[in-house]
Amino acid sequence: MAEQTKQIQKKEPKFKFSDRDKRLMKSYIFQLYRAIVLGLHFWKLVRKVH
Amino acid sequence: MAKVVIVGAGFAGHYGALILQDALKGKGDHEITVINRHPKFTYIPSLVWVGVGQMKAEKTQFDLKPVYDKLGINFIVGSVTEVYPDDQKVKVEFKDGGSKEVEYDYLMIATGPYLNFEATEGLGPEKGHTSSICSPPHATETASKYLELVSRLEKGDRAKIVIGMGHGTATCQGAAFEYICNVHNDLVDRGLRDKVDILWLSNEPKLGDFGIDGLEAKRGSLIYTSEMMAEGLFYDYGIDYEIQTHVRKIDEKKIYTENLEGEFKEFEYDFAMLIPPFKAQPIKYIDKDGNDITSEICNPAGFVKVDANYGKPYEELDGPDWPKTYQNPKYKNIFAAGIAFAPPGPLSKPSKSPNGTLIGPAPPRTGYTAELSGKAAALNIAEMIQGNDPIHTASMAETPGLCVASMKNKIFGGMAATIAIYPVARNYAEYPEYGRDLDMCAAEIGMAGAWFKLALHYAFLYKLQAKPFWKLIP
Repeated sequence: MAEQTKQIQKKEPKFKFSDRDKRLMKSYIFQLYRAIVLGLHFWKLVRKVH
Repeated sequence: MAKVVIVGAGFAGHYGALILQDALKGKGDHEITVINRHPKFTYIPSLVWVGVGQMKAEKTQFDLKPVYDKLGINFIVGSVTEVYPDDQKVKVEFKDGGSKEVEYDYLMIATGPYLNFEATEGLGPEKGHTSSICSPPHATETASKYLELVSRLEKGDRAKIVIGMGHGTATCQGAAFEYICNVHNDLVDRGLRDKVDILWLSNEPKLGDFGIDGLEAKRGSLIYTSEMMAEGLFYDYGIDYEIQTHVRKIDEKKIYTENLEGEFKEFEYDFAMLIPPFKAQPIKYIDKDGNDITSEICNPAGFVKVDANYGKPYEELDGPDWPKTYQNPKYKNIFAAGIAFAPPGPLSKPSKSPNGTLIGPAPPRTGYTAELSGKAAALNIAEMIQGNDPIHTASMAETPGLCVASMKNKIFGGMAATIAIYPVARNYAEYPEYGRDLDMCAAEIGMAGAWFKLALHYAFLYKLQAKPFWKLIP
């Protein structure tokens, strides 16, 4: 079985996070808001099975 | 009086024991016995932090005996090696070489996985060359190897890190994804990231598949996928990736792979953390005549068959085929939950390379899914003890998957991907377009996820120690 070593090819992503996305990921106020929204979302899903 | 034996004390077995004890309270003098290989419960999701040296393994564990003593549950530390379904007893072997038999009226198998490092030559920390974060000792050893690498980097060395899956059929991609992100961010914080090439090596059919056939979520008018999320993230993190890949063997310097196109490749590494494939814990099932009937009770990997529709090809498999009550069809007093139950098929599309190598993730059924199946099995046993039929269900095609994938463990400035899918297994009979209810699905990266992840660590450890008001924590 012939082994071959290939260079890992750099792949161009179809999706990139925008600068705004990255800013919001680290914004305390926005993340506090998202924590509430996602927390309620999790709770809604959990209530389906408990 | 009914005797219930639960084999295993992980998410399914331990939570099942708590639920069963609670369900049988005031309903007769019943006996629950939990048999586990280890005296401690481990909160596996936090081992990712142990593996980068940010948490001690002890912080993810607690002793089971005090919890069971408090609740009046018997506890045996040992390995169940044989089950006699006709005689309704199990054989337990102890580390000192001794053994004993334990009788049961109802049995729940919730053993968790056997880490099958032997599937790939050179895989694993014990007989191979790679690290693992699948158990507390493995994660602790991984941390020391990683920190050793860090000190070499601090002296000016460069290094290649490979993280991912150690076999074409391995599962639990989420854990490896968390680990690669935590390693990246830890190296960034240490100012060493530019000295390291990091590679994600995975058997996933597409990036962000995670063994659950990926996920879609609504983001305004856009359908946002886990593939987009993973691609965007790896681009930002400068992580290269090779997917649709099976690891054939590993030596001290290289990882030898084969991909779906049939190409054989080699990757050099200085540090590698690769998740092994899972198989069932080795338990033999023996009938009243002494015949080995394991193949009748279990699938070829040793997982216990339950009320699923087995034998369908991937393309025909749908929501209604997934098990609901987790009851064995042959022995109605045997249930299996968590990783121990045999799934009807994979969630992600399996494929074969031109050389005939199977490459496709096995279905994950860890964490919350394991807990839900353990709960359903426990409640069904409680129903049967009271003379009723098993009516409690927790099909993976009807229950949500909730996952918070840590990327950086800090309260201030931390990061995690918060993922919610409903249901876990695509159910086209119910949701014809995507097989899932996209209004119920979410995928988001941010600091809020890091808060959730930390909160879940403490909430689960609190709940599973049956501390006051534990039942309020879902």
